[in-house]
Amino acid sequence: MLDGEKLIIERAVKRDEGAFGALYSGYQPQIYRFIFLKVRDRFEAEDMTHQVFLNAWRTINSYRDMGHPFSSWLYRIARNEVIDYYRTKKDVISLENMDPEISPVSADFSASAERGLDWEKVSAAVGSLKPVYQDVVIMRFVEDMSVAEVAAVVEKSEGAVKLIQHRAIEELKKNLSV
Amino acid sequence: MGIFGEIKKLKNIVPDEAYSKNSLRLILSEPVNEVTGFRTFLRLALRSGSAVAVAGIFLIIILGSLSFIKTFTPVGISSLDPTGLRAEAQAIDIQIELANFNYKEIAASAGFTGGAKTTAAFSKNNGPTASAPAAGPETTSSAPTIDDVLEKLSQ
Repeated sequence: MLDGEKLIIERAVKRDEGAFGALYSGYQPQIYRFIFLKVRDRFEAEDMTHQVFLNAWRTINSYRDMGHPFSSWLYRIARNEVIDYYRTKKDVISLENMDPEISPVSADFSASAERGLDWEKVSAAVGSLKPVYQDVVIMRFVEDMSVAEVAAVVEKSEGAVKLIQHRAIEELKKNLSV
Repeated sequence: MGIFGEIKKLKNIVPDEAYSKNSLRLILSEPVNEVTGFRTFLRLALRSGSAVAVAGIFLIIILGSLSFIKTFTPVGISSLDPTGLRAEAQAIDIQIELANFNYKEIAASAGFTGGAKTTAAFSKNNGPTASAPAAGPETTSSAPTIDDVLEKLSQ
């Protein structure tokens, strides 16, 4: 959550470009990450992230604070965008075909010699999970979101999220051990 | 390093900085469509329970339909006004009474004269004679005027 987020949102709802820019800077990286881990294509992820924030800018005047963080609203838009993507596009570019020069991972991370598992292997393992398992794993363990926040995004109860999380981890362990 | 540590490393996935700046610039330069504003207004209006607007539209449609029917109906509704109908009904009553009065009077006069002549004709010729039609002119002639009738009624 950003500092003074409530005030920033109020200004953004009134179409204050500076306020929306602050929200964009604060949340765009994690929305991009969320989309990238689900589609595993840099350019698609960029296009879709752009579309998410464009939709957010167009409809932010209808945003109402329902007690959930602003990020939940953005994640819901992003989820719908990913669902539309898979509904219209069947072919997914595999990670093996990706150009290493345009890797979405930061240079420091790529250069790290201490990393255990390869990030591609981990992201591929996450990508092999069911869509809702992916959502929970990314939001809980990559973005450190609370169970309540994740439940608001995936529109399930907190108990259901905990159950999905447990099953997702079990499946992920199995995938990574192969 | 555990599995959670490995997953956590995925946080290093970041978008390209130039792309991010360009994307934000494009988004903010996007004009906010007026249609979206109208849709939002419509959605809010409906959501806040203003079904009054919808009811108003239906009312206009109903009143318009009534006006259309009144204007283009084959039977003039204006001729169905109660005053005109009452006047017409009274005129019909008077005419029926006049017709009854006329008929009774003719029948009575035919009973005294034509009836006797017919009986006489039958007795003489054993059948109908040319004298029977003699009552014909009596039935069609001298229909009383309304003044005559009113004068008789007043007596």
